[in-house]
Amino acid sequence: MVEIQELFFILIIVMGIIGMVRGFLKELGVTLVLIATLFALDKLIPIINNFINGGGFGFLGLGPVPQTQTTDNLLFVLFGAMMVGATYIAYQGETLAYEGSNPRGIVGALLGFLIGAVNGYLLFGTIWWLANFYQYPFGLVSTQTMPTAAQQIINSGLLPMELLGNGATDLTSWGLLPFILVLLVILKVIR
Amino acid sequence: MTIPIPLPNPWNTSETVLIAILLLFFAAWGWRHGLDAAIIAGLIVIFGIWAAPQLAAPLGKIINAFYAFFILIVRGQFSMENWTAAINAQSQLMTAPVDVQNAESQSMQLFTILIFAAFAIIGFRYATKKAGGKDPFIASVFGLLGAAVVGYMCIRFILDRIFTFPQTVVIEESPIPAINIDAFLLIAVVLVLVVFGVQRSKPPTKKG
Repeated sequence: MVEIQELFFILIIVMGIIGMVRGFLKELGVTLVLIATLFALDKLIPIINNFINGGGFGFLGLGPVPQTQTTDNLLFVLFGAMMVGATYIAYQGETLAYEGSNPRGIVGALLGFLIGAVNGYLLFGTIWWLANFYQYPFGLVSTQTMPTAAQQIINSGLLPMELLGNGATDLTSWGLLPFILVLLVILKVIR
Repeated sequence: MTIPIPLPNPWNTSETVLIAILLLFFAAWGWRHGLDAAIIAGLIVIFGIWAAPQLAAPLGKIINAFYAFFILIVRGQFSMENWTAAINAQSQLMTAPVDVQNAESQSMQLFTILIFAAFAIIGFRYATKKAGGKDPFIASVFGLLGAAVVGYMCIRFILDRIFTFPQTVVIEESPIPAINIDAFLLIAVVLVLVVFGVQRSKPPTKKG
């Protein structure tokens, strides 16, 4: 059975290869969408969690988060679908792609791989973070035998929600996401 | 549990202030020569950081060889045995200028810094020559950022071999050891590469 951190790195490499094939500028458009989605989730998750914990949506039978596994399952599906949906739209559409022609040669290929891998990290890292935050819904991951390396990655705050954002816990501070977002928008606008 | 370890510090200024002042010079260079020059210099500096400790012992032996050859001949003690011992800094007859047996010795640390400095100077000169032209505003801004990162690497490499600043060790009890990554530096490097890529790509053709 493959361990979760191995699967994570394999998926990042696969996304890196996809990035190499698609090209640097198209991948950068996807990064912009993913960073925006991540920023939205970073702010949305604590609002919804607090609302549910405060008794909101009680008529739907939702219990406190993250103690109630059925509520966790629902929220994981909801936020996971938002992330996957945003990624699908970003890969499918051309609107947000950076215009122009990619850098040539090995530099272009390496930059494509790098940004593809960054996109893989943002997508699968966020899904892993959501799964961990909502106590690994549907028994997809065996939490009884969580490998030490996976625990290290989680505990050290290396997943994108905590590395770039606030870990969806605090509404007052911003993290690095808005700065990255503004920079990517500036880079798109000034070209 | 926090245990402060007071270590001798020959400087009154703090490490942060010293680094910040030195970084200004690198940042100014980056602003003037742009991001492409900062990346070229950075690559050579990173190579220097890796290569300098590797090269210190073999190059130190070459210096020992010349020095020992001259000294042993002058003293009338030259033999292949004595010369080989002096080259390897194991001679009882003379002290080798570079103590290649001990990587932590003062002579080896100084020699490592000299080799690294040579790489850094070559890197910055080559970068200025190859990519030191006038750059647009955004490239200058990221050149400043990139050169500051390169400068930080240079300063750390040298300062770590000269001084041991007062430090605090925090011991935290944890069953799983944490992975320490400088997130800000990592993100800065990725962003610099993104700007470099955007700069290298051709802009779209204007309509009309």
